Amino acid sequence: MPRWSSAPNPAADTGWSDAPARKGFFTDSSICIGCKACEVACKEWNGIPEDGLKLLGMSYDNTGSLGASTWRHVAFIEQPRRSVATTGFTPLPVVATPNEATMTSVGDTGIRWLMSSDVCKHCTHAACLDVCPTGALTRTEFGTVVIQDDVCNGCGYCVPACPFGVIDRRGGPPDARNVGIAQKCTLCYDRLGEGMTPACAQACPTQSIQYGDLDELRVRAAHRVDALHAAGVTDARLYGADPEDGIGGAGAFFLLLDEPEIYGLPPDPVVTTRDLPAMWKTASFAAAALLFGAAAAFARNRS
Amino acid sequence: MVPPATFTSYYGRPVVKASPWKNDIPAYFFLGGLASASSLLAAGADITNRPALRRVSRIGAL
Repeated sequence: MPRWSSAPNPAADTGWSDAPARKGFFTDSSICIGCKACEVACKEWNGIPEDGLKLLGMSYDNTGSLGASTWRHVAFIEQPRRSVATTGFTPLPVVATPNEATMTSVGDTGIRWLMSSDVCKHCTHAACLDVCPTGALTRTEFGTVVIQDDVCNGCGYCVPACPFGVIDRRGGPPDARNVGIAQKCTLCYDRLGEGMTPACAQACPTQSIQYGDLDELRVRAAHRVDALHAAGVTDARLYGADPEDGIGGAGAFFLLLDEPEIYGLPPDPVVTTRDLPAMWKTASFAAAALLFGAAAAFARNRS
Repeated sequence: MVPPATFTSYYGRPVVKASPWKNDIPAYFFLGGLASASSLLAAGADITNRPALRRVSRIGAL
């Protein structure tokens, strides 16, 4: 059941007349090889400063999470063989063509690798956009959510509002651009305007990151899931592709090979501003209680 | 029966980001509440002719 009014075209909903087709990413994690070319291309193109050279002890992931200076993040999961299944997990077909059903398992190492390139979801109902008091976060004609760094005043409202923990304020280094300003993926708005592909999708060597019209990508993703299911990968699922979910469907959606939690994604994301009416109700009750209490304090005359 | 759900996440990292607000914002909210309640008390004291309470609560509202 839709919890929000259906807005298939958020750009037109925002007031863009004759907006182009909504653009987005389809990140197919089943063919991600974890090369991090997307992270590098993103940093290069957008001129994002370095945000810590640390060894995190999280497999090959030393990026950690999305943030103000990390707009693409490749997750690495070393998954041990599950105890519930007798034969372990579904092996991935290396070649996914239906007529060539060569199933190649990772062998007897006892683990499988899951790699997925995470990014801003460019929600249909974007909470960061809803809470921004300055209008720095805007909906573009491509239906994406972009923050204007010269308008943002760094209030930080958007940071806890994002149900995916994507946007953050830049903490440093001190000599970098826009320190203290909220930053996130722009879906390469500057490249889109010129009809170019975003840097990460351009750099991806396996086309794990696919860019295009969202309608077309959703169809392509549905075909891909069907093909994987037919090949025996029953855990394959789409994430963020359903326009009826709590965020009205993501502009950047994913094909995952396990539950979203494994990849650090919320299983049922909801636009956080959905709770605003309830919060205003509580706040007005508190204000009424204060008024009533103050009046009651003077209700009785001095005897 | 379905076993009780346990929290899993990517290397135990939180899914959402914590608010970047430091102590000064909650302190500001608290002082704002204090001032508004004090000003209400001051208004009440003014109406019911209590000069001492009016003076104290007006200073509190400041």
